Amino acid sequence: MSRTPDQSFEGALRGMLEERRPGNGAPAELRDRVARIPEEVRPGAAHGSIRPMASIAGSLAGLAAAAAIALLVFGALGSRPVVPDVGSAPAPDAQVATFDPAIEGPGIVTPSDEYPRPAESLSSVPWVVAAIGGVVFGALALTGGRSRRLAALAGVVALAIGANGLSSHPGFETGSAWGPRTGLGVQAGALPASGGVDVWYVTAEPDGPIVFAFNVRNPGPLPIRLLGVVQDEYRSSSFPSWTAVWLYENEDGGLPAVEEATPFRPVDVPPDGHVALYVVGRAGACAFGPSFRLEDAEEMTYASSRRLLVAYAVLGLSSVGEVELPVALAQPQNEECTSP
Amino acid sequence: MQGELVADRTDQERGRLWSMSVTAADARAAAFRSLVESELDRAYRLATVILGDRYDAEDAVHDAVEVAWRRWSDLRDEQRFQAWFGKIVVNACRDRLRRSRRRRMVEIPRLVLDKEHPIAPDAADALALRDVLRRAFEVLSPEERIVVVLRYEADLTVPRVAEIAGIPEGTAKSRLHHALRKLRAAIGEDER
Repeated sequence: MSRTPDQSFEGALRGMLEERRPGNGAPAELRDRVARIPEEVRPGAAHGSIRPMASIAGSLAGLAAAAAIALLVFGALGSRPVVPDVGSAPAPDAQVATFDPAIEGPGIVTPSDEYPRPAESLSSVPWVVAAIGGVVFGALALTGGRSRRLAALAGVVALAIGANGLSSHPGFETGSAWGPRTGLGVQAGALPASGGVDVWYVTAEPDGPIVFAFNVRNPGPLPIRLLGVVQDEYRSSSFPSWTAVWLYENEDGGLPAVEEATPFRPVDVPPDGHVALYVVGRAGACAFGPSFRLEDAEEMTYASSRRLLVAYAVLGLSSVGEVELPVALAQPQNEECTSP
Repeated sequence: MQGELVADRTDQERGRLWSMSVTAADARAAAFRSLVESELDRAYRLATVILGDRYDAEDAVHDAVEVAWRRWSDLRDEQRFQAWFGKIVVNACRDRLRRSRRRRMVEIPRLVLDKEHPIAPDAADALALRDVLRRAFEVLSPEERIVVVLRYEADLTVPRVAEIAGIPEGTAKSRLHHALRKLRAAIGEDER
């Protein structure tokens, strides 16, 4: 009696599978290994109690991370960064189209006793988010195998690198154009002892208006929102103070006449983009005034600065950074002045 | 010496003394070891046939025993141990097959057979047929391999195959059908 093709196929299949069988039973080494498992591995009850706890912790951490990310996104997309009010910007329909140094407020971030500096969330929030993410990844690693643990480790490293990169964001840098465009209370020159650094001398009357202009550049890679110029909280009344900022947005970094500038409003500067700032201020109470002559420069004393504090936001997270001025700003001092 | 004194006692005495001194945890571990020991050969054989490598099979069985011990409290009825443990072993094999980066492309030479008598009757042809089947089996998906082994090596019914593989019965039938069709195709029976 001959076999049917089906029987023959099945027989061949069974024969092939039989060939794959081990010659003997489980080897002694395997028996030893599995016999030790109850001593070496925590039994199910203990393992089962860790798993739900890790799961709950992971869920809570995940919710917290989601909330933090939502806040970040909201901050990035929204128009209100987490900083104090940026001066008293004019209403959109206000009739302020031309430059006027008497206008005060726009673009100035004024500290208060309660709030000496704008909230610098850029330096802290990324680390908070990274820490929350670390907890989430840690919980995932607890509940998973080797591949999940490796993925969690990679996630933690990526978060740490991202947080470090974001929190140490350099902010703006000085652009390629500057000058006392209006000539209002500022005179350009060079101090013989300044090492070749150009100097702008403040020649306005005490408390008189001064203006200087320069552009700032976003070095990238993320867009930066410019929030304003920060009034130095340690400023003495004998030094100049800032009263307003006007701006001109341009791509190429040019510095047009101040008449083309508009009152400050927070602006988003793309990577490698420029914005021209026209900083308006008042000379200090002890300014020497317009009688200053360059020929007398070496005999004068000065209140000078080469830095400006700028408030900005990256991904909705605010910070304050110093922008080095392209020149030294020097106010000749009246040595007989007794103002504090 | 204490060891020698214990060794000299009868099994009954040793059993009595042992049962008096064990803790609940010891008893739990002993029961587990006993059941695992009874299934170890079967599990090792199943894993070896599925994986095709005895070292992989040892590791898979070890992993399965570890998982079984962790989940030991989940098993309500020790009478169900065989099916419960078999499922864990199959899962361990499936994980190992999926993770394996060693899956290689195997060339499957088609047998040229007489259409009237597709399966060659003599021993040489039978060996050649098995060789082709072996190669074709190697390239089945992990899921297909498992159902074929459970059905034709462990000799389980389709419902039992579905239970151990952890899949619905219809899925088990479908996978078995597709796997057999691939194997038949390899030996030139696909046109029938």
